Amino acid sequence: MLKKCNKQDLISAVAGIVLSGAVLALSASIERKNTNGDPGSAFMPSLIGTLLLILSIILLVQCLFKGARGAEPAAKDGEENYLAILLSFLNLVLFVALMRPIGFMLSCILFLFLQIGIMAHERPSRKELLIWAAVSIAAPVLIYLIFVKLFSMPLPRGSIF
Amino acid sequence: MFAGILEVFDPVTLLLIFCGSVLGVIFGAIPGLSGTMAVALCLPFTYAMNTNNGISLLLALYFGGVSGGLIASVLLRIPGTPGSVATLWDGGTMAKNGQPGRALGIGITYSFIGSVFGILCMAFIAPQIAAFARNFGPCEYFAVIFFALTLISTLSDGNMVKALMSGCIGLLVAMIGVAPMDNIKRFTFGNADLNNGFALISMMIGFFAIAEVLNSAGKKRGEAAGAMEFKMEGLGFTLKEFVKTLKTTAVACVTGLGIGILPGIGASTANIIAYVACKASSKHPEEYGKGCMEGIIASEASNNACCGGALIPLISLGIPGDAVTAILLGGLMIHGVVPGPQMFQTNGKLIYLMVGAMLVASVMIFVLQMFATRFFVKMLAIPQPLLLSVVAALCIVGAYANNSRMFDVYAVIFFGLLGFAMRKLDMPVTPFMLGFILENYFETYLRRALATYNGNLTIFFTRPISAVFILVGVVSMVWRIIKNIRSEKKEGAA
Repeated sequence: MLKKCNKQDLISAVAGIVLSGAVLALSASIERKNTNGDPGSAFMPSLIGTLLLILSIILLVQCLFKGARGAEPAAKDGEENYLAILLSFLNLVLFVALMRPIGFMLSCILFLFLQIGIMAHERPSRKELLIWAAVSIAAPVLIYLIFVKLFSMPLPRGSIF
Repeated sequence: MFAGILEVFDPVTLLLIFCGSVLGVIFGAIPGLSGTMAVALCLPFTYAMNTNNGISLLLALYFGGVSGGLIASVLLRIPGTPGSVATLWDGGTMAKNGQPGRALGIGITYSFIGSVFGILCMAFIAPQIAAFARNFGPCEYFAVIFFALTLISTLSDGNMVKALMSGCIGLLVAMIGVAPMDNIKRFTFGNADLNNGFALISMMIGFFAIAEVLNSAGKKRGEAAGAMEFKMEGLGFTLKEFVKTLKTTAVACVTGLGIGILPGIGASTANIIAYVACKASSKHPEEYGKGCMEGIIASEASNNACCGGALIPLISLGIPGDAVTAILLGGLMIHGVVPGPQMFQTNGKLIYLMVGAMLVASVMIFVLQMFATRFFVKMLAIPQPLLLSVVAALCIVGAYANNSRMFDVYAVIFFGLLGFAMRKLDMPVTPFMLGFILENYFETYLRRALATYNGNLTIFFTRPISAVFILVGVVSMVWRIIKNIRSEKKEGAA
């Protein structure tokens, strides 16, 4: 009899089935070289893909027929600010995307200022804004000095700086 | 022997060991940088030095790099190096529970104990251990890796099926790129950057640093960790606690040393396996992961004991076990020293100089970290939005600096998103990491063994060392599954 599912388990099981299916399909097209005893490069992905499929089906069956077990750990995160998570992710993507065109220094300053703002969640006072700006400028300068000047590790340089 | 050790006390050598220790700790403490990087960067400087000074500097960097990893693990809950991943489970939690000073004190002290244990083993029993390790062929290596992978079942506190799934996904992600043995490309979709697969450092930074930033961004400001007070008496633990945890210390040191001796595996695996081994042998396994002292000991004693272990095959057989010992081998060869079975006869004095340099470096690292602990802890007083944002930027830069390629940075974002999703789906990330780290060895040794013995699978069971590891792995896994089913039934009945 079907019971109320744990949403996390259900998503995990479905994702596992989709992933294992894709792995098994792709494994079939891996080139095979005939060598004595060596099972070839397609063997391990096929083996682990099959194992993942079996485990995903077990999880799905557990989820559908045994229902939700215990408290759902993510339930306590119910009041999460998903907009801040999305903005943080987009900010990271923007940082990485701008690293080459405008260089590490400017992209990092922009990233830090925006990220601190996203994580602070509240409207900043003038003093806080000044602190954010100071940290956003000081940290990249320090990172640049340590990596480039002290350890001679190159960082992306843009056309501006 | 003592003549060799005494040569370390030359003022210039001592100064270089001090500089190496400081630099090593800094490299270890910054997520994205590692002791390996520090050793590689400083290798050219040793060209102009004499053998004693050059080797002493490199060894101090090596030990400093491994020890420094615990600082970020404890204070930021982001492992400074792959060898300190397990430290964050209890060290990070203890710090989060308001005892960062104690967590650091325990970590620093047991790093020192692990280092000294590994060094002394290297000094006194290296030839005997190396002779035993020489019996290891591909079957034995495969069996050890298989055993390590079965530990995934022990790493799950919740749903074991999900832990196993996580391990499988880790194995599959590590398969991306050129396959071992025949160099056939797998899952690369024509992208040349994927040929070498994902770097371990990108995975680690993404899973811990970026996922943590995303997670913290979603929390209301008040939910962030509260202000912590720095309270630490002595080393952070009592003599009674020290005596009580002797068994854990012994298990961690021996496990770390054993893993270190096996070429290729290294501290990144040793700390996780030692953590699991200590948890399995503990009377209170339920306390692991909740900020217990044993958890920190397991990780820190093992990853440092692993250093001494990794030097045993290098010195006795001339085989570098990992990237850092390969660089050390280069450092020795630059100075005309060829490690191998004859080294104890031809360069005995140098071996004991190395022992002396490592012991002095360990003491310096211990004192340095203990002294700096109160300053490290102050870092936690920085508001989380500022601290985590700067750490995220530093991690991205660290990932780029590793190979100077943007692909590693993209990989960090990918793993950050994956780690965040896994966290939300209540899927443990540690089995993923173990699978990711071990896949290459697992597949390589399996295929090499099968190719050597014409596909004969029985060879794994007819060779005694291999059979024992496989048997212990299977039995522990089956036992864990039975235990899991029983506890589920109990839960259902309750």
